[in-house]
Amino acid sequence: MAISVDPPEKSRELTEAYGWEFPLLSDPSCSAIDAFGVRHPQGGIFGDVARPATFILDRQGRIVWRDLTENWRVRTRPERLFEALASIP
Amino acid sequence: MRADPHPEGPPSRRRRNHGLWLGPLVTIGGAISYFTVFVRWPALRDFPWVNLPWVLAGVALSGAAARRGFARPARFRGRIAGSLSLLVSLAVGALFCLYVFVFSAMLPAPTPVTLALAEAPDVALPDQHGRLVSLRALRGQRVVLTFYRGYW
Repeated sequence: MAISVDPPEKSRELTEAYGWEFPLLSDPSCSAIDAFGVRHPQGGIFGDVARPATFILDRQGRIVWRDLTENWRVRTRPERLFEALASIP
Repeated sequence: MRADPHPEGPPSRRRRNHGLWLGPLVTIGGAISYFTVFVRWPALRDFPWVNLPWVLAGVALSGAAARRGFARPARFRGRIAGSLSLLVSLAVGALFCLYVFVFSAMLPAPTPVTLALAEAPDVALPDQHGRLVSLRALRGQRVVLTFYRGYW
């Protein structure tokens, strides 16, 4: 699932445009963003946003893998994600 | 003193200097195609293997055209055209390089909160259909959670 500061309407537009089926959560007050420590102050045109970050949680909700890119053009490769997922029972 | 009516040389002596317009065109094409075409391939997006040489080639073309314009202004359409071409290409090339190597790396460092996090905080947020989704309710499943800037 994905989280951003976008409102639900914007997220719905995105999922319809790309045909995604996973949840896009809306966090305009940055509550979840702050809970994970991934706020990017003034990163967006209108204020704070989330910096790119990916986490994998196991079935007990523990964070077992994360990727915090140093460059927003460079994102997690799907192969690495699948590899990490496969190693989680 | 009368102004020279043909600062780029009399029409009869002028030779073509395609680099004058080709240089900026190639540079701009190289920069734009990175964002519109080549970002779809992760290997070419992470580092602009295609677009950086492309942009540099455009700058080189303008450079060559400017050099000819300065060396033989009467034949190669003058110093001003050459300077302008090079200026445009350099500006576009510099902006492209700045974006790729500097701006897009301007992210905050991983925070102590993130680095210390062992268990996912309990968050409950509305999804794109307005339904509340809680992370705690997803226990029992493996979850991939990705944060993104938004504004897309």
